[in-house]
Amino acid sequence: MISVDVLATIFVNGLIITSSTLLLALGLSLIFGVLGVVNLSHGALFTCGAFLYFLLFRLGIPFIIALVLTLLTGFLIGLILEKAVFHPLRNDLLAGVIAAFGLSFMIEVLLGAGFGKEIKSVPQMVKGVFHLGVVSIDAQRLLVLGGTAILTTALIIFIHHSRIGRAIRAIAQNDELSLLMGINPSFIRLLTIGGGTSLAMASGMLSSPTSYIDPYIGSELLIQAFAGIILGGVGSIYGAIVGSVVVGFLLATGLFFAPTWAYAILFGTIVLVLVIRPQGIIPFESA
Amino acid sequence: MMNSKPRRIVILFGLGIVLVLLPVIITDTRWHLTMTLICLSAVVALGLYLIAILGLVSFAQAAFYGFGSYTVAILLLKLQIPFWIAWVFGGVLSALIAGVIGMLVLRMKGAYFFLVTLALNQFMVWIFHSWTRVTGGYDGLRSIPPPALLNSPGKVYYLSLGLLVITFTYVITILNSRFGPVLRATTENEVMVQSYGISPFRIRMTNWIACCFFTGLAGGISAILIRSTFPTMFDMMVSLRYLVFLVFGGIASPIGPVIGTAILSVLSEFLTPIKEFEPLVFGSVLVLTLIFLPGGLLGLFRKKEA
Repeated sequence: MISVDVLATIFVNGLIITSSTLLLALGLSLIFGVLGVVNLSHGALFTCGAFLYFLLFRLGIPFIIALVLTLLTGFLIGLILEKAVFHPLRNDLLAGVIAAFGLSFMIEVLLGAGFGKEIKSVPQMVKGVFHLGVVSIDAQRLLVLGGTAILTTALIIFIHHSRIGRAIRAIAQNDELSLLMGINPSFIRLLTIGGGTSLAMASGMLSSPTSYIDPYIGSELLIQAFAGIILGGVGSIYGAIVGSVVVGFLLATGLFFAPTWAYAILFGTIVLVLVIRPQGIIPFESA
Repeated sequence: MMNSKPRRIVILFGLGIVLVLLPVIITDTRWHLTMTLICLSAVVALGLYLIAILGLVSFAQAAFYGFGSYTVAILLLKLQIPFWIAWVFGGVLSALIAGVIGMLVLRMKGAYFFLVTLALNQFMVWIFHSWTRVTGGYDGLRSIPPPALLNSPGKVYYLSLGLLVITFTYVITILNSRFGPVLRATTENEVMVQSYGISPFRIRMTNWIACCFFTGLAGGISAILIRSTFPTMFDMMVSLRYLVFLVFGGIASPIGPVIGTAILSVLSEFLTPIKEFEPLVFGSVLVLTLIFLPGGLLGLFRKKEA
């Protein structure tokens, strides 16, 4: 029988998977909406954040300064990506996707070469373990959960209630019309990819203590985040949230009852959902 | 490109002789293996070409290749069915699966097709991985017995070359048939094609099934060439490789994917000592080609001619 303990375990694991998925899915979704690029290098940038924090931690740089540095580096990398790759390819969606995928492999190899093969780890930023009945959760994971909740809320408020947020939504809907409204699309594009990349790198940094660090952690997560946004609806923030929750709980349930089949079930579900509802659960227009 | 017909025949004939004699000239078995793999990958790249001219990019080709490979491996190892029957069966099964999937996804626009095939590739790799009883799981299936006629890479080469020639001929025939202009028109203006009473869906379906059929056959040959098959041989990285071959060669003509495959595979062979940097080289080639050579290598020649 399924007991309360089992349900509690699945629930907590589901939340944890949801939060790490959502952190990547938000950036992916925003970048797709504004730049029209399915940025498959997003996961590799998450990994960059984890490695950068590993480096900064070794150098003994305090947490807050490390966070600021990570955000700034992320923004800069985002600008370079847009200028060098995505802007030249902006008229061809598929070229952009394929190029981003190529980029992610390049980043992984470079990280592997630069930092060596052995698996790395960093100590937790906050200490302590909390117990809820049989389920225990460490403070670091709670930090990631809280961070995700705050970031998501902040992003929704920003997108819906600020001038720049309005401009971002306008461009996602129709960039030629928004040009007529006095919005500068290239500026908004730069801001979005810069912000999105910052978000990816900061997520990598925050999540780095919860597991080991190797060049592929981001890409593994990216597949989940990607699953989340195609399930929920590409380009919509609410879609990213709904999709990540579905992915998180589906995976948590699958991993609990049939660990070897969990991913097959996840991708089978995605194929099915896409076939029945190609626009995703929450379509783009209602973003 | 205005070669006269006799001249073209002489060139093709010469090329044919060179390709047939290649394993005799180069006796190193390592290169036999590479040459055979080039033929097989070129078949997959040509399959991608068939759907790329319709504006579709598939990320599931490694999975279909794997499908052919696993089918042959399972039939040979567990049921002792003769290779030739197992081989054709693998191709037909790939085509059938492609047909079912095509029914569901080919009405979607380019980006969605791409997303579904990406998810599909992961789904199939996880099936290879998880269905341990049949697929051998993580370790895969090993020591697949090749038929006596095909027990060395040098011999498998001829079968692969044969498959490549057949695939190439199929593509050329389709392009030069009455069907050819319709293919191009479907990408340019779907509504116009519809207004002539032609179903773009059926055109996409035909090419998609042919694409996966040939890919499955190529995968089936790889089972007796490599003599083992395991999930990581068919992951997204491999699907990406096929796309790089196609993008690098260019899609102006079906010779593009073949040239792209040959050049990059030979390059990859020379990169063997620094295997871990291979994705870096492939990634750079891909990104640089997309940005600076949108038509691939063929685009380069076109520009010089103009």
